[in-house]
Amino acid sequence: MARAIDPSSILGSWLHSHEEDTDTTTVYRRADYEFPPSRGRKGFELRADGALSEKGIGPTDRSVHTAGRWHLSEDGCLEFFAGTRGSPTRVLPIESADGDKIVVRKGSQTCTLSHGGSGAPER
Amino acid sequence: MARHARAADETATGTPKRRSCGTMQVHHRLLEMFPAFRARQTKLEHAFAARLRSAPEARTAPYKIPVVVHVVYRTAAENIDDAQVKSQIVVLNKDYRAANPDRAKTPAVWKGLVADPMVEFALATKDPQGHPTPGITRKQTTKSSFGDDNAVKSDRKGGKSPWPTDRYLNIWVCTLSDGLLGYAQFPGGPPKTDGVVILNTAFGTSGTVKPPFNLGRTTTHEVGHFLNLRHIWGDTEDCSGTDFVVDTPNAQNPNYNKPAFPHVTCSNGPHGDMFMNYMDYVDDDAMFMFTLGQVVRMRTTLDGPRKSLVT
Ligand SMILES: [Zn+2]
Repeated sequence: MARAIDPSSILGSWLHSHEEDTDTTTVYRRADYEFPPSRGRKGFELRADGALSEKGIGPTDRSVHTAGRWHLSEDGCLEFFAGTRGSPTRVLPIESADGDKIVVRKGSQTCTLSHGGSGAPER
Repeated sequence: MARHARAADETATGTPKRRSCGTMQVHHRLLEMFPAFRARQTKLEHAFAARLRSAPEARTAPYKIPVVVHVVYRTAAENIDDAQVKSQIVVLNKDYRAANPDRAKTPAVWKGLVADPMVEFALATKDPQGHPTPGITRKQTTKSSFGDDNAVKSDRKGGKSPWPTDRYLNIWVCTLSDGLLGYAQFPGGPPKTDGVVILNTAFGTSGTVKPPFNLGRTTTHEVGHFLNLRHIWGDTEDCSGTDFVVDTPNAQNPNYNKPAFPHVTCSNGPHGDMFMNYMDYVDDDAMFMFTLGQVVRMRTTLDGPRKSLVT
């Protein structure tokens, strides 16, 4: 099922709003949203030039950042790449993106995975 | 591994928040800034493995650790009172003696794993110069919040420099940015930043604390890291990670809020994740136990790199 997601609606820094997750969806909100305290929040920053910074939770609760590239497929799947080549390291099937909130379906079954870097943007 | 430092001050949203610490994977950063860390961590893993192969006599005397709490504040509310500080020490002494009443909520299948770390904490009665002290320092700052970059641990950066970290467990209590509840440092890291940092509204059980982090469990969790415990999901998202402890089931991700038992991931059914363990990410009232394996790991630390703390 093709879903048209406007790329401009997902640019910027996002953090996991785990309080809003459901059994079937994962919710991200903009980093400047007033989040309640948490032991740690994962997230990602999508830049217009295709650069990605993933924010993870470190082993002592400090944040850790990993650089990569991102790509939005035509069927609304947000793909993360560790470099310019290879299969995506993560695939997020986007349910909806309204500029303030990104709702992602759990599991990547609904996405057609890119192979061999064909879906990855040029550096 | 394809991990790279990210450049500072890049934010596409233009948000003024700091997310620019140039952080690499925490271990890489520590390794580069403090090369002895890798060697010390490796040595400690070997000691832990050796201890698991032996059967040391049951410990009868608790490990006693002197604590200094540094309250770093800008507003009056952030300058939490002595009673709130003391309420946190009470929680540590329950949780690290398996004397917390809520341990009874442990699912039956894991009740037999609940173990007593036998660690006791007390606010220091003597300062580094040997003078009497309440074990609490108070430092006014101009900073409205601190990140997870250790600035709160430095006089020069608007925080408070530690008391000798080989003699005291240093706990910094401040306002943290981005809603972070706390962070810690493993044994073997840089002495100048050794200790734990806790959000003031999640410290202790009285005063400014706010639910659902109002039972002092953030400090219990961070002191677990200080004693070399890892997250029960092994710090990966694909079931490949480990917490180096065999009696905590492999789990995929942190659990949040107040999960319903069982929550199965990583083929760990039928009982699923041990989300009620202090080293998961659930609410304060949803975590209440360490396992025997975790206790052995902590004791290996207290008999090894943290031995100088024990009185
Ligand atoms: Zn942690």
